[in-house]
Amino acid sequence: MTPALELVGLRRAFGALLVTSDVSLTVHPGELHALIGPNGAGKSSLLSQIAGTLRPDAGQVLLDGRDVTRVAPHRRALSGLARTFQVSALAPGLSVLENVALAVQARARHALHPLRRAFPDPGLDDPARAALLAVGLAAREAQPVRALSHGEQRALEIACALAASPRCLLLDEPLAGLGPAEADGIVALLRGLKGRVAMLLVEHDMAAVFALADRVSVLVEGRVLASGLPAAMRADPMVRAAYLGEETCTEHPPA
Amino acid sequence: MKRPSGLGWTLALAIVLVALALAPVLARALAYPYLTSLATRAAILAAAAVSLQVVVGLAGLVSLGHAAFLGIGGYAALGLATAGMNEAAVSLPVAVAGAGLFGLVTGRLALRTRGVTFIMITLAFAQMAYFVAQSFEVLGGSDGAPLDPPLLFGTTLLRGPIALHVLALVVLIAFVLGARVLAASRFGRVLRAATESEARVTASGFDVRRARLAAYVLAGAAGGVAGWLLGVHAGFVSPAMLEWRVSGELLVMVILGGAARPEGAVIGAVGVVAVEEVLSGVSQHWRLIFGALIIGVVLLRGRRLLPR
Repeated sequence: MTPALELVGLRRAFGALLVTSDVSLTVHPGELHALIGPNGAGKSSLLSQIAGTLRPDAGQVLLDGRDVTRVAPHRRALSGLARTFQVSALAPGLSVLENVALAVQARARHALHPLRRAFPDPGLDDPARAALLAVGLAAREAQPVRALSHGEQRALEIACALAASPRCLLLDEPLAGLGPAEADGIVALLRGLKGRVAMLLVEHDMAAVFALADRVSVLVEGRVLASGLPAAMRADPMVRAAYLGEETCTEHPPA
Repeated sequence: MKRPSGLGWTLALAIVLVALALAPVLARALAYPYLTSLATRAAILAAAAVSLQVVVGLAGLVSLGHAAFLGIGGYAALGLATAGMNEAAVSLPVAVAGAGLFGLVTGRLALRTRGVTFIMITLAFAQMAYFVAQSFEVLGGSDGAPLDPPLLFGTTLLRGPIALHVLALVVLIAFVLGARVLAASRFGRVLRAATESEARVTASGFDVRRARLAAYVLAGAAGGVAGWLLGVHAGFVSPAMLEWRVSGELLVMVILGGAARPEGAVIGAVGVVAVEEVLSGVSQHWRLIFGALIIGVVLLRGRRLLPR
């Protein structure tokens, strides 16, 4: 089976700082692959290279087996790759519905029509409403994004990604800053997407990661330290020492 | 946030347009024909300001080189007239194509940058066009040259101040309506969203730079029409039309009008022309008063001069 997303020997340096060092990993269709690692491990930089906003120095990014390493970010988006951002990237002055409808519009015929009214347009609005319904924001569609709470904006990011009907979805800390109830809602939403959408999830909430992930990779200092099933990763002593094991370190200080 | 409603803008625009349209009537009643010429000039500059508003307000790109498009429009009329082809049906399309092409070439390079760098690059390209215009010895060099009123399909319909006034008003109204349709369109939404979050628009699947380039070229071509009109109305075309001060004045008109709407650009442009006219009659140091007025408006409007 061709992986939905495959990274082959990806490498990127900022001057002397190696943020991505020979990273290879795969996300199979419908699989949720979690990427964990301490702050500064290079997780967001890796996502940017996959999305195309940061160019790797070496290596390849393959979407459905197709090499897109040199393909512009908007073309990757059109060929089925969606992402959410760690810091919400929404148009705050536009309505909630318009933010989602943009993703639908990009895939519509005459996406940049200079005369045709953008709103209302059932062809764009109805799919956008379906995505808003899925994240529980249907009632807020007419409001400007800046009227939404932080948690609602995170959910809106996911709605924007879903409206593009992606085959592969990159999620950059979708639970950051959410209350328990909001986080539960997003976790349930992501669980519902499993099997349909390939997902690469960067997340610090370990309970959510181990509840959702089919596989887990651990990124430390730009390198994939370990990769495997969640249970195996949780038990791996190297992983515990490097990331999970802050308490392990305090229990067994280095000699 | 308080924002004047669309209806309020339309009403204000209607008042300004009616005032411009009635200028020839008033001119005749007062036996003061200069009033018609002034209103024509105001309408042409308002049309130019509307074309710049699409770049500044809709696409979020502050350009300080819009005078280049006006100049290309003016020189298209002058160049063809000098070559013995003083025909609007030829020179106007050439003005549009020339200005659009200039926008395409310079925009591709300028749009690699944003913010202050974009301002400087658009200014630099306009200055290059200015010096090129000065070097056209056959078209009068740095002095410029007179331009006879062009024929329209071989007729003399465009001769006479009223015909030109009507044409300027028609162009102005068409530009405002066009800019409104554009802002509400799918294309306009992409431009608006990109001023707020480029990352969102790119992640949605749009090539932001290409959309901005299309807006820049379109506005440039429209600027070419305004420049053609300006040259024909003045009966004279010179490099002064491309001076950076002209770009600056257009930008002032757009910004005083709030930048967010084409109606605002019209009101800003007509206001600036009217105030200039009144003040220059009061004192030869009128620019001093004008400067103080601009500062006053900026302070009063405060927060929302540029769309963000």
